[in-house]
Amino acid sequence: MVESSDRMETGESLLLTKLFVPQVRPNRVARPGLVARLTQALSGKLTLVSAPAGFGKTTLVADWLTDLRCTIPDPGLKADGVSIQNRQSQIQNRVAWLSLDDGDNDPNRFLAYLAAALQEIQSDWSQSVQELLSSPQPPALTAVMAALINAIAASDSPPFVLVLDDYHLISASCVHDALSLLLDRLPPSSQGMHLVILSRADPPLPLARLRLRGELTEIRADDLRFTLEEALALLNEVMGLGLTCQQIALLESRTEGWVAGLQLAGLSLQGLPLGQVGGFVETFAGSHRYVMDYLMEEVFSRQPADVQQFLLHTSILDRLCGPLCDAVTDRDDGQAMLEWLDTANLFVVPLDHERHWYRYHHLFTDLLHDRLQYTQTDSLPVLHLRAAEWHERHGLIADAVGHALAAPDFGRAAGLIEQSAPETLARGELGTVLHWIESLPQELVGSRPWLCVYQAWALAHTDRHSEAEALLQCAEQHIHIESRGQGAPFPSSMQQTDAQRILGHVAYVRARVASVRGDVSRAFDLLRRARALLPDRDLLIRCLVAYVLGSTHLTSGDLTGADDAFADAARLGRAADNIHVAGVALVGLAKVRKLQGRLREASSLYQEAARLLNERGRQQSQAMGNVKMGMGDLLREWNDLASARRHLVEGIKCHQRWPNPSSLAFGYGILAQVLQAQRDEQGAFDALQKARHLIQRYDVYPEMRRVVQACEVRLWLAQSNVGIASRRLWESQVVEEDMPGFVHELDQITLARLLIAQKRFDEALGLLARLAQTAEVEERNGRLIEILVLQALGLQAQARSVEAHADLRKALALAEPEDYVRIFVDEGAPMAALLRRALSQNVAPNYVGRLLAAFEEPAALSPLVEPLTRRELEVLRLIADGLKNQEIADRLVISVATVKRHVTNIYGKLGVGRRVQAVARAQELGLL
Amino acid sequence: MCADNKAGFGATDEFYQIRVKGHLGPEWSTWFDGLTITNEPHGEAVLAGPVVDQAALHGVLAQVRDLGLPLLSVNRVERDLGEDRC
Repeated sequence: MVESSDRMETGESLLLTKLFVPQVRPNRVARPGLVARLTQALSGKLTLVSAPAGFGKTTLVADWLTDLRCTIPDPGLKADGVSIQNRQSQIQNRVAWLSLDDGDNDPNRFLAYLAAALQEIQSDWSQSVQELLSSPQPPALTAVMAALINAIAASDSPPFVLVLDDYHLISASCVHDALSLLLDRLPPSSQGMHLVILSRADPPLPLARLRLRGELTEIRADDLRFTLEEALALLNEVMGLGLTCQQIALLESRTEGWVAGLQLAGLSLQGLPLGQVGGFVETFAGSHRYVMDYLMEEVFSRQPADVQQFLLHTSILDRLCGPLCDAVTDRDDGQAMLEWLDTANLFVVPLDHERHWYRYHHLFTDLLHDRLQYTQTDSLPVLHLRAAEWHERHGLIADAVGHALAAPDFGRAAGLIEQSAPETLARGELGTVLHWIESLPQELVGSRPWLCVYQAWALAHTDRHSEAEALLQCAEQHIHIESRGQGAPFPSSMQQTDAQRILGHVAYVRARVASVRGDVSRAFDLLRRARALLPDRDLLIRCLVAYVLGSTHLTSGDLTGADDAFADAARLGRAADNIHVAGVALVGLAKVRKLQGRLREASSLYQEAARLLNERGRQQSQAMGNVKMGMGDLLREWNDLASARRHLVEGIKCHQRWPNPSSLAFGYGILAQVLQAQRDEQGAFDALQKARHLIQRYDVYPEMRRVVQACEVRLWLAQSNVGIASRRLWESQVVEEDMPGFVHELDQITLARLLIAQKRFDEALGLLARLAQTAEVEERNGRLIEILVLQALGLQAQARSVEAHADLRKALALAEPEDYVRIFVDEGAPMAALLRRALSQNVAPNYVGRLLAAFEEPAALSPLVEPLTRRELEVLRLIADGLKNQEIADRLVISVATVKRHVTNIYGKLGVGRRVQAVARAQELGLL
Repeated sequence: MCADNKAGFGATDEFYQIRVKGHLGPEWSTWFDGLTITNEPHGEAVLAGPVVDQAALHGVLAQVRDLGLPLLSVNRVERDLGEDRC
């Protein structure tokens, strides 16, 4: 009996078996013609090997891959002017293999395995995908695919091959769509990925289009049929039979070159005494019986009885290993049997190097299973139950469920599903859970509240809201009915915490539906209810609930609520090992601190988040991007402009692969402010353009839109362009009469700024007074300082010096402990004058002295005295792409001499001497 | 020839004949869930019987495919209502 210590190991190895690149048997028939065709196919995007079962598809492709690995480039090998041998030798070991099964129709499962397969090629792709899948709002499959494609296209990784085996098992249209997208967007065939699909039927992908463009190579049944020579090699050389040419011809003709048929024929013949060979061949050739049927009968019936039993009983298994076979057959010779079958080449296929796991060739399994059903129907339930038990004991719950359903033992299946649904849902595999539960009888599901909850969860996340609601009510009723009958608030048959947990989950699922429908306040109430009900145990869902609550609180300006919820989410995220949520929760907390005017604490939080993400290898993740951008904003405030810029640029880079428009808009907006402070006006406007472009194209969060708008208005006002500034605000319909409170605060501050520029001081001051009151009461010191600064400026402009200075003193008092700088310096000369007066009155002399010094500071990085021309920029971009002078000349259709002249000019303007330096400097200046 | 009067043969079931290449033994009827198998002289076999709906039909065709049985034709048969009374 296998101990539970094997639990994790067997769980792990199951994943690996799907990724295992099949090994080629040493004594197989070589098919060099087909292998060469596969190599030629590398010049296109897709190779399709489409033929019914038993035509040797997998063997051929495995053979070809082995060939690739050992290839020494042949200088004479070219096709279409593209050097195949280069690509071939680069590929070598860069092969990703994914053996598909029925479960991969769940799009998130498919994606997870695809990413795992690509892990071997480039490890950070897999990680990014997993991160996306485990985030609170996982995106659609096509979105993740698009991002994955961009990652593949953008990376410099050399070419590789991705093989998808048994593609005919995929029926989910979303997976077909995702692959169509992949094929469409793949970069030109000379780089990046080449896809190989093996299938028993032509997949519903845009094959015609690929064919037209010469991007598709097809290998079909007729190509795969064994020729006479190959049949001879198989039967006489590999299988050691001594058949005559005529006999081989008969066999080849009868099987029509179908290799599975030939192999079975060979196996049948191997067991025969020499004298009967001729008769067998003649009878076989003359029969009309379906080849498989005839030969299976022969091969099978010739095995000893115990082998027959073994084969039949283990045919219910998708994958076999010694101990599993023993459990199912109730014998102890499982491992020995498998090894014997392997040696005898009886249709058993190894799934790993250790010879631990095997599977039967699909055709064989199907035929055996059918025979089992026909001859021993009654034994099926027992066999499935034994299989279910074994898989359960070894932590392979998905398989256990499958067998339990097949037995059928619905009660057992229900228990297993309840056990593994939480983590399956956590991995985003909603489709899997739905499929399981939908295989159970409805009454059974109705009687088990947890099943109702999990099904509702999966339905709610796939937008089947009314079905979800019906199930949730069913779950609730179950609790209330039971409890009513016993006169207690919760039924005693169920622990109180269990009933609470169910109600907590119900609230969470309802919150999800409400939030998708846009009913924010209902979602809010439900989330708080969920949070109150759920105990610590339900880590993952509590963590998600806390995070969503934190965001909702923050959006409505309830900083205390946000503080509490985000801190909870960070703690729970760490405990639940969901690093992404822990990271973004810390970022949320930092934003709260910034609003509260506690910059140093915000900085520590960002650093903590960065440490956490670095520890877990998430340096390039979206969460890290948000950390860097937030930190950049703080550094900007502290007037460390060079560091601020670096952080923001890095933060923006983290989002290039998996763009989050809201975060990116924020990043560009703050970058614009930094560049403005560095007196790089063109750069500032460029950054702002990017931010605006994102806002126009995507559904960016309102608060981020406001930040960008505030930056924009500042920029226009700094250029004394009051007209455009006011038009922008008018476009976004900011109104003075909007209710006070956090939601519109930033817009109204921006409006006040505009009013001051328009010299409408009374209106501005009236607005600011209201804003100051609310900000003070709600303890948003960060905003309050800005409001006080504007008030001081407005009052001074009305010659109300005493009041102006009172406000300024108040602002300075709040700002000094946290070292605010830009909030004063950005206001320019009028503020400088006020500060000089304050200094003369001995108000916070050290601090004010520092502020005044900041006014005079030259920009940390002076922009170009002489900007690059358009042509020079083009050349510079091509240099950054790694092109040599000749290539640039070809691309731009100019002479090499001209290119060299441009390069010299570029070096001069950038103040550098080498290409590498030029690129670096250009990036620093935001030119690239 | 009458179709087997299987329990649950509703008025909405369609009747199909699926022709494949190669003779099949009787045990294949379990594989093809209730269709009758008739082996015809020229090395062809006909699977015939009621099929509940399109999805079920595609399911049968997939099974034919998965076996590697060459599919020759699929025909929907008009039933004379009188034939039900067998």
